[in-house]
Amino acid sequence: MSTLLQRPLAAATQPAPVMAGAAASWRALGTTVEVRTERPDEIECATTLLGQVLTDVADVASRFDPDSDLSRVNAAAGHWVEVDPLLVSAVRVALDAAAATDGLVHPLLGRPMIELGYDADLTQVRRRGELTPLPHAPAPAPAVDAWEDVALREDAVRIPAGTALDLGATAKAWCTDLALAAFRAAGLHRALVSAGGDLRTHGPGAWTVRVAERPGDAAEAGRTQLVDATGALATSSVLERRWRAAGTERHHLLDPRTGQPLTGPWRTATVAAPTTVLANVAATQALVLGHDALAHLHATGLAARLVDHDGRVTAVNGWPTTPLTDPSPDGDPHA
Amino acid sequence: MTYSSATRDRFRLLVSALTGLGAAGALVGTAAAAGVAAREHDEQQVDSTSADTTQSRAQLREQRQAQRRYERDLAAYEAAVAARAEPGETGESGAGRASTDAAARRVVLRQRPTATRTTTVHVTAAAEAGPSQVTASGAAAGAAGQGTQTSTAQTGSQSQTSTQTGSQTQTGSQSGSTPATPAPSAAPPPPPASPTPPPPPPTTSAS
Repeated sequence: MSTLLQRPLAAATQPAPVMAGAAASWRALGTTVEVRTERPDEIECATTLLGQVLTDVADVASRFDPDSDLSRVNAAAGHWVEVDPLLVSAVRVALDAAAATDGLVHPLLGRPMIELGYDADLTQVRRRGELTPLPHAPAPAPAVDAWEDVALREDAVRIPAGTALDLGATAKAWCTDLALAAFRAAGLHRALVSAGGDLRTHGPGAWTVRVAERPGDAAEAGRTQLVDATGALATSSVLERRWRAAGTERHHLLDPRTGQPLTGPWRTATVAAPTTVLANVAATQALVLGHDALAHLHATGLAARLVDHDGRVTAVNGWPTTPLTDPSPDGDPHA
Repeated sequence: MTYSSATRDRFRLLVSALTGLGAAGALVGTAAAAGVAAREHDEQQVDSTSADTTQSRAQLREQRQAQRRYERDLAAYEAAVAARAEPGETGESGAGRASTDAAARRVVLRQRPTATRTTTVHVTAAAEAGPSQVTASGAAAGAAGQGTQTSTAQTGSQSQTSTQTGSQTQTGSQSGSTPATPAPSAAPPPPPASPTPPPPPPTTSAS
């Protein structure tokens, strides 16, 4: 495994090799999840395990479900709330991410998100459009270090008064890692799990993966890249989860320092890492860091692919730069 | 450790093992616990349609939460029993004996809630040139983030079924007075199924 991790990415062979096995995909956690197994007889087991993980996490950590433990915690901010220990684990993952990024990947952006209009499933928000109710006087964003005041017990959580948890930055990636752990314990052979584009491989050998900014880009020639990957890949982008409210186009990636949608130089970041949580946190952090992202990524040693608002791609730490076979009309192979 | 057919604690070590940004090894403990669910997946079938009509979402969630609480209590009990293994009996054999003792002395804390779920799968007939697609039926659970559940499984192999619509019969006799009726030719065998096209590569993207 360590040998594989030393070289988690490589240029994909062209054309993409035929992949045997089985695949299943469905909607969960407000996104598309997918599982693939090399052995067709393992797809049912893998689907069951992944489905169970997603169900359990959605039960406790969905911000849009008023009955979830997370919603109860948010409704009683400032007080201890008894919850399922699964939520405690999920919050601990989010707090670890905040600690590792000095608060730039922040678990307490629930209130700013709601005040920007993202208070329900994105499909509903988009359908509502300009009818989205917004507060006249939005509350200030929580302090960048407010996450340090989140307290955890084995079966209880307390968040600072006036704040609200939002685990969107880590929950999906965490589900992927949990599923992989279950696959390992179940003795499954080669498999791959993707939750909303945060994917991770299981077992020896690389998988050919398409790197895109948005799901719809997958079939669009010249806008994607094929890589052979082992471990985890995660993509964060300001392009996908967008909505309009009060005449303004908004997206879901907030700057914890301002509580407003990011306006940095990068629109998309894809990072390769040993775990999906690591990859997703690094990708989100890169977008928040903006101009400082390259230096930070160089320091971490994680391979990454950043795309700016003009579509120019910057590869970091050995990210493959294979020219695409289908260049875009303007001749830029990476646009 | 040996267990009964009761549902294992999928997240028994989850709380203590996971720190999110820890190394992949931090998940091993969780994996050991979480993976036991795989040994039971064959016993479970989900009927999302009937479950939704007979039990509300809230009831289903409460049932799952109750199940997790039971599993945690059971895991804590077994961990305590294992920790009382005789001194000197460290290592695998010691742990094994402690586990066996734990199983023998197991106390059922309470009746484990059971659920039988049935999956109804509609198989659509394959098109002339395309593979079969299997889609799961049933309404969406309606939980946040869960839309219509559709799973598409593309298997690497396809079973071939052939039906001969014709029948081979031979009538006639040796007498010659009745000419033998030539046997109708058997229906030609169906063409071999087209190979399942490989799925496109998995994609990492924002979503």
